[in-house]
Amino acid sequence: MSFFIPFEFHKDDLLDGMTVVDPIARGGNGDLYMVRDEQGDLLALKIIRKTDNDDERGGICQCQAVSSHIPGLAPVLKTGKLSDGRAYCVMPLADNLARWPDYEPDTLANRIRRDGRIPPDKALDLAAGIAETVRALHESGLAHCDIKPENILFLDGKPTLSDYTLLSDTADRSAEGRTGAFGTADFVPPEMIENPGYYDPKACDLYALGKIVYCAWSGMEVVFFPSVPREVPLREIGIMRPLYMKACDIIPSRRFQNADEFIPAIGEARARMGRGMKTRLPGRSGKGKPLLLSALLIALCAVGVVNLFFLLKIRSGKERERREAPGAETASTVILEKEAGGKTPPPDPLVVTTDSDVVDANDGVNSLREAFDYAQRHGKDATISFSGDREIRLSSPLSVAKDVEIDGGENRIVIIGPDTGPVFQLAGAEMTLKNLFLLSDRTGDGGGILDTDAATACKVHLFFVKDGGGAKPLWKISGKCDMTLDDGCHLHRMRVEPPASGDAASIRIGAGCVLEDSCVSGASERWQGGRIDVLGQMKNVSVADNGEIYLVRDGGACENLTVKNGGLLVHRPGGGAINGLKVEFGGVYAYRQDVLLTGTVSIGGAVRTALGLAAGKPIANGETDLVFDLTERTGDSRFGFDRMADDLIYLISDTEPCPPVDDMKAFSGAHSYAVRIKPDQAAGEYKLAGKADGVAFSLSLAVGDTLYPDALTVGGCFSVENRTYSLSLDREGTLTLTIAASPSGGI
Amino acid sequence: MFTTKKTLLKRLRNNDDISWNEFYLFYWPFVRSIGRRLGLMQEDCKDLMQEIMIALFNGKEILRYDASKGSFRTYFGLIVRRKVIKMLRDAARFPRSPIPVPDAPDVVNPAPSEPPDIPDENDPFQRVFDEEYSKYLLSLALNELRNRVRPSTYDIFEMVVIQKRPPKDVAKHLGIDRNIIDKYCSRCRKSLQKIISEIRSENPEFNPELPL
Repeated sequence: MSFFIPFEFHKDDLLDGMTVVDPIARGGNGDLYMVRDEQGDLLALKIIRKTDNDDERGGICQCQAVSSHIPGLAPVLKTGKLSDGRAYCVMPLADNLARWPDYEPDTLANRIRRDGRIPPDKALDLAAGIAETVRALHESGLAHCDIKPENILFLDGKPTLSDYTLLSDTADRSAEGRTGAFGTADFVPPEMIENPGYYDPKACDLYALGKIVYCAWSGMEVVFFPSVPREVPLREIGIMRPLYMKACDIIPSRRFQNADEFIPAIGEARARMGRGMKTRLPGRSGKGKPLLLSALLIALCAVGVVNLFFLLKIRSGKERERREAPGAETASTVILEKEAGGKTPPPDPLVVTTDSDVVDANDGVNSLREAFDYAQRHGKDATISFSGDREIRLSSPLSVAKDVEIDGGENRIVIIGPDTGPVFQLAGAEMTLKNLFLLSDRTGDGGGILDTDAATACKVHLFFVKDGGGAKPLWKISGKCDMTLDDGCHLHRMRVEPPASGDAASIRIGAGCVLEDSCVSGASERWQGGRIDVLGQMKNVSVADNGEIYLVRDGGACENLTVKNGGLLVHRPGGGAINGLKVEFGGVYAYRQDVLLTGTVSIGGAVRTALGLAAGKPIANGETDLVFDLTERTGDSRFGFDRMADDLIYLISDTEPCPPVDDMKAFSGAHSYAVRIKPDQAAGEYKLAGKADGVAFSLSLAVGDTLYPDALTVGGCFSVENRTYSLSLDREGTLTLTIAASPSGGI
Repeated sequence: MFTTKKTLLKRLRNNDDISWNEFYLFYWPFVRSIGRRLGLMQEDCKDLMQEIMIALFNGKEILRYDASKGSFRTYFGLIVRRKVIKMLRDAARFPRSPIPVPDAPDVVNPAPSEPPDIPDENDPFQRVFDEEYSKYLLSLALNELRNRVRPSTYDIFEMVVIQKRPPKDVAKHLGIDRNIIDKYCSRCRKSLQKIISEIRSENPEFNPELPL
């Protein structure tokens, strides 16, 4: 809302053949005008503000088509462009809450503002209607992305979703990092605000719908969530609260995962309301039965959906049987024969038809190694698939030097590596593995992947890949690997180590994936250790020696995580619970918001709140609602910000710049987390004033005027401007900062 | 110090941007209370708020307070005082305020033509302003608490401690164990006391009566 910047167009201005009657409102992404078309009808015209990206316009192009077949969306009657290239769309004018000639659009926001809270049954009716629209949108692969009371218009008394100019293809939005601002802050889930690279439009819609229920029923502005006015009866709160609390839980996995979960919950609340509130709502006593019937209908629909699911499942199974039936493998030998004929490179996929590990081209039987070697020799982006269930035993590793994709499809493909060594040995290529089972009973390291090429970064994408466990490390990642686990991967015994030089691997554990019995570590003295971002689950994983784990999203409770000796575990908002956390000497566990965990903190282990996590962001000493159930505390353990030692270094706060320091040894001050160093500070060892008193921590450096938040953990190093800074902590609690000349610059 | 979003309190402290809408949301109850206590009607209070915001925002969409002007509280108080006096004088000249407020202090006649730069504790306007500002700070503290704890923790605290609903009834209707309710309330009390002590470090006169 703005009262200062005048509207661009005024009464009687012409806009593409339509006459402006009055400006109506100014939104985040455009201005809204009342216009009169050539037939004399009053309409609403929205001009989309010009932006650097085409999101809004991309959305507007879909509006017309989508609004025609999804009920509950405000119809888009016309779209076009102004002479300066800005897009606009024309919609029916919302009902008028004022008296003509005044006009106040009948939106949910204006209704709440004018009339206060909406009775619970009406709020639930409204929510059910919006939820149905959201479901239809999501089933079409789209999401609204900006659901809020201002965007719920009443047309002829019926609520409709409007302003869906941010309408997005959900796949596009969720896959790529978010660069622009989508949605309205209080209607966007907290984890998406905290992690700008993460955006899930469907989840955002469902979260916003929860806030709609809250705003409509409580009559409160969304910023006051979850406050409810004193006059609202507890019985009513008891019915409505579970709905919006579940929809807006700070832990994503506890929310409604789709509209199909949300809608029955609304039905259930309506049914309860019908039973419990009958005497409270005069004139609505006859509505109990319809509400129950509605709930019954919804339940029947749900049963129908389940049945449909099973029908599809059965059909899918039959389809699979049909495809796997003898005679179904028709094209098994085509590809390599083509090669023999010297013709153009074969189309995808290369089909494997035998279990034998041989290179014997043109024998009519294609082994994995044949297809693999073919793909590697030709240097094409090749996909290797399989004609049926296979159990392929390799005699030596498959060396991946060029990009390749191996897809087991719906077959059961087991690849058994050689007695020692890995199944795949990487050398800087991009590899995608799908639907594979890597069996290993290794006596040596690297049963799944061995990546030892420090010089060349490789990329690995795993989709539904499982392994057979085993005693030795199966996935040894010691290069600059960029690895992603998605869609139900379940891996064991991964060891992530830093290479001799340069940064170590970066691994993302996607939702629905599990990593067990693994460690992120390294003995590098100069470089960052490995990093794992967790959106799934981890069990029995340790992080040490500059390794980093970030719990980004709740993919299920993680179990038995150990942070020690320079390791860092960051629990971001929305990250899952931890059952059994151990913070040992030199390890740092940091959290930002409410966390649920049980664990122990040993001597020298540190638990910190609110690290300055984003690069360049100042450190904030946040206080949060920590649920920290220490089942065992040993020795001089300390935890929590307010119990950190008082005599550490210098304060760089959000509000004040770090005071200039002339003498490194003059450190003093309280509650300090960062140190400013002169760029020309002499090399040497600097014992930091005071003692860490058993608390290890990470230190932010300001070198000259440049701040590097969380650059340095105990046991770690940091290089910048041809100098290397390292931090150590002895068992006496003395922190030593070492400055040394570095052969090359860079972080 | 604060979590997910920077709160209004922090941004005021840091001289960060504050939007018109946000300012309105948080300051409207405060201005309305002052206006009503000084004898303005509801509609006049809205005009007062509008006048104050125009003066504060100075034609811009966002407010960035210049700390060199002194504390925001003092600066804000002076603006409110000027606007209230102007409105009361206008009301006296063009009577349209039919409902006098009996205990409203007379801030028009005793006041000098220009308000003093230094707030005077004995000044009736200053007394009202201080009392209302203290209430406002408490509301900010509660809002800060809302940001720091889980929503499902905060609303229980609010119902039981702020709204004084019987814990037994809350437990019954919300289906929550009574011990959990006590735990949530205890956690919130602790956090709120911390927040208040933080605010008090910058506003020593802030000593709210807590419903704890």
